Amino acid sequence: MVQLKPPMLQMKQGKKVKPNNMMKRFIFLWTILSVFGSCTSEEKVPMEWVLQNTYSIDAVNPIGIALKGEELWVSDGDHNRLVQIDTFGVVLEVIDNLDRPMHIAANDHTLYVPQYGNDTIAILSAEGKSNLKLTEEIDAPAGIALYKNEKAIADFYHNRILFYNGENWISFGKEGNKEGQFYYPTDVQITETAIWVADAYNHRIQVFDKTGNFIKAIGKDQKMNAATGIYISETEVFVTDFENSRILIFDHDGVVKQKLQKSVHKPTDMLVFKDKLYSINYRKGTLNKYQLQPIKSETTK
Amino acid sequence: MKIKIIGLLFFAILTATAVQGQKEVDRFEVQVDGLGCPFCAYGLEKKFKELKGIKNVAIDIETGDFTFTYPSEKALSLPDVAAQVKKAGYTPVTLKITRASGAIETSDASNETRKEGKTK
Repeated sequence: MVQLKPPMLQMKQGKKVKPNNMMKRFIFLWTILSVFGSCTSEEKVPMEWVLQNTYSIDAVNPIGIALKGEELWVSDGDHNRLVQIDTFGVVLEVIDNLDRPMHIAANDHTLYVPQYGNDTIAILSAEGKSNLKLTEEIDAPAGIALYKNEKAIADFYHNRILFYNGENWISFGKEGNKEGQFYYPTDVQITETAIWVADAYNHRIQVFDKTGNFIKAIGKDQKMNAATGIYISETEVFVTDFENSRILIFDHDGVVKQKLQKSVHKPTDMLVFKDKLYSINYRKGTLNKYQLQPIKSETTK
Repeated sequence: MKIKIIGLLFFAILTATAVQGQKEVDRFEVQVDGLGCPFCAYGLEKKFKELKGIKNVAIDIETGDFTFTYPSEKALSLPDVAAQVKKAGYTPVTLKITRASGAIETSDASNETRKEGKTK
């Protein structure tokens, strides 16, 4: 039986290596490298989101979508309500008497609802309904985001973002089209290190650190017409291009990876849940479900 | 007979009260440019809700048609409406008021407001 030793050890020990053993070792190493190589290349197979199905959500014009634990909730601004749906678009529960609910957010047990019509953030939980306490007035809250104990609000008519860092509320942004300025922000999301803003009518996404300093803008060259909704996953940035009825998918550096158009009709929001991408269409009241698959061709989307 | 007369009087008083209680309203029809999304439509609605007494607000996102009624006694004018549309961030294109009296006022605001108003 051949006992394999690292080549450096063999040299140090000054042992001669027989040609037969050399060949065996080469084959062994080649096999290991081949197996390792094939695993690595499998991880790098380029993937794309492929539409699996479109489901009608009965009499709902959805604007925002969020996960409360494993419950899928959408806001129905036209009808002043929230609706819980299953992953086939079937309505399971309705919460009425809201005032133009927009881009909602949730954690395991609580829904946060920006009420565009009455300038409040409703908190809905098993304990009942209350309003989020704010230190400043807001005018048409269009979106809210949660991350651990942090919160962010897209303050539409004030063209700014309010951010609660766990201790204090800060605000940043004003009307304009320069870096750090907004023209009607409609959605926001917080990640570990950044705050992402759908700067809707500047047709771009802006990224800030958690003190409100501008980091970068993405999507400016994509001729979007109202970047109204965003969702940030670990590796991707999803943006609803409302008027053009498209969902654009970027990497975190802003490089376009994919454009979804099939069955997309005035999209407003999306999220990834159990490895599926769910997007909602305001105009047709539908839910699109996508699955990641290896890329087959550049044209079939 | 007495009962009939009392009944008729009571009915007349009720009718008069009801008519008096019904305020006369003007009807407004505005075509708004840039009303593409729900954020826009709800925003316009929100800014007009600041006008106390506004009712029957209807917004068609597809066409940009925006209609509402407002108490005649407040005499809301075409420039007032145009200013409120601009406050909401949009551009009024045409404005029409049908007064309770039947009088009609119209304005093509496009030339003026396209210069000054924000166009989303």
